[in-house]
Amino acid sequence: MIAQLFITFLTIGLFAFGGGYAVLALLQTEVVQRHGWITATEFANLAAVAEGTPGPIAVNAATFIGHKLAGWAGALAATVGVLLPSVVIMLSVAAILNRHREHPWVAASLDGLKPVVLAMVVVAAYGLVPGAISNWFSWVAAGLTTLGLVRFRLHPVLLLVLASLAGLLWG
Amino acid sequence: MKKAKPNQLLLALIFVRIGAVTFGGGLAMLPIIERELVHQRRWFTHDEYIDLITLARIAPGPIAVNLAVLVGHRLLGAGGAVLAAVAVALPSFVVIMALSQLLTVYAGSPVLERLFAGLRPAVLALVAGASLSLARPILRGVPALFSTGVALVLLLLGLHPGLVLVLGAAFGLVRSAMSRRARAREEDAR
Repeated sequence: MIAQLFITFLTIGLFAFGGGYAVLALLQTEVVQRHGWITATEFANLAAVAEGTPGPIAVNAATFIGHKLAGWAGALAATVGVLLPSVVIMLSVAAILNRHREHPWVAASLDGLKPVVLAMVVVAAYGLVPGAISNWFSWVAAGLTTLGLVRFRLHPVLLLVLASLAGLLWG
Repeated sequence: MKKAKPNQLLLALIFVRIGAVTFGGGLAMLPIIERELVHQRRWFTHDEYIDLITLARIAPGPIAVNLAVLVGHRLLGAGGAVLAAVAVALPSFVVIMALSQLLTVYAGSPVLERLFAGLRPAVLALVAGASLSLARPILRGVPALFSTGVALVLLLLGLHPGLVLVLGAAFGLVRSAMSRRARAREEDAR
């Protein structure tokens, strides 16, 4: 289990392009679909915890899932796993990449990544629906949060606080 | 402010702080990092800082972690890189471990269940909102629409996101090679 956690989060760290929201799509593929370690509802809970606490989403998720599945050792294995690609890649490739940053190939492959990152974020949202939407309250909460984010540009953490209060009152 | 020489303790403290105040996306922390490393400590010039950020963003992995490794390496070598990476992840680890313990103890409590009943749709909305704001700069022109559509279909078919990313990078390379050849031909014709 520990080894499996380590390898899984190593993969996630390796392909973590495009920020925390795109990572959710990777997490879902690995943790929910491939391994069946957690349910859709638990995944939505995890996403809320990872987004609502300080630190990168990938690191938070690694610690959370590692702890849930295998306690302290699991948390440590998953967290080290998700950090390792960053350390190795930044130490080895950084110098090369930096020298060739202006190279058309680097720019072209990065351009090719952007649409995939967008698609991954869309898929992450789509994948959260079954775990997040269950009754009229969840529809209203999702709608109001979207409004607060897009229309009023409220801070995501503030929106999560408001949503949890709404959940306590009417959820 | 006087320029303190970088040392292990200072480096660790700075990145623990960065890990502790960064929520969600890495972009929110950039001004904080700039203030620490460029304006207060003056370990990097603004140009050097921009270089580091660019590199941290284009490589895989969380931006905060990538940046920690780069800065640690520049200042204190490979040991500094590992130290900074551990430091930036430490607040995550501690907070999530404490929270996980709490959630395990109170599992099944109706209060917690209601709290998460509110949080789940909200995080869905945050991710959906992020895709909207990403779509605006990316979805320009037919090729971008095409590749986003194809990526979406492949992901929904269950292809591993890592594989789709590799395909996306390959497609970007092929497209730029083709447009360069077309441009060369045009110039030959003239």
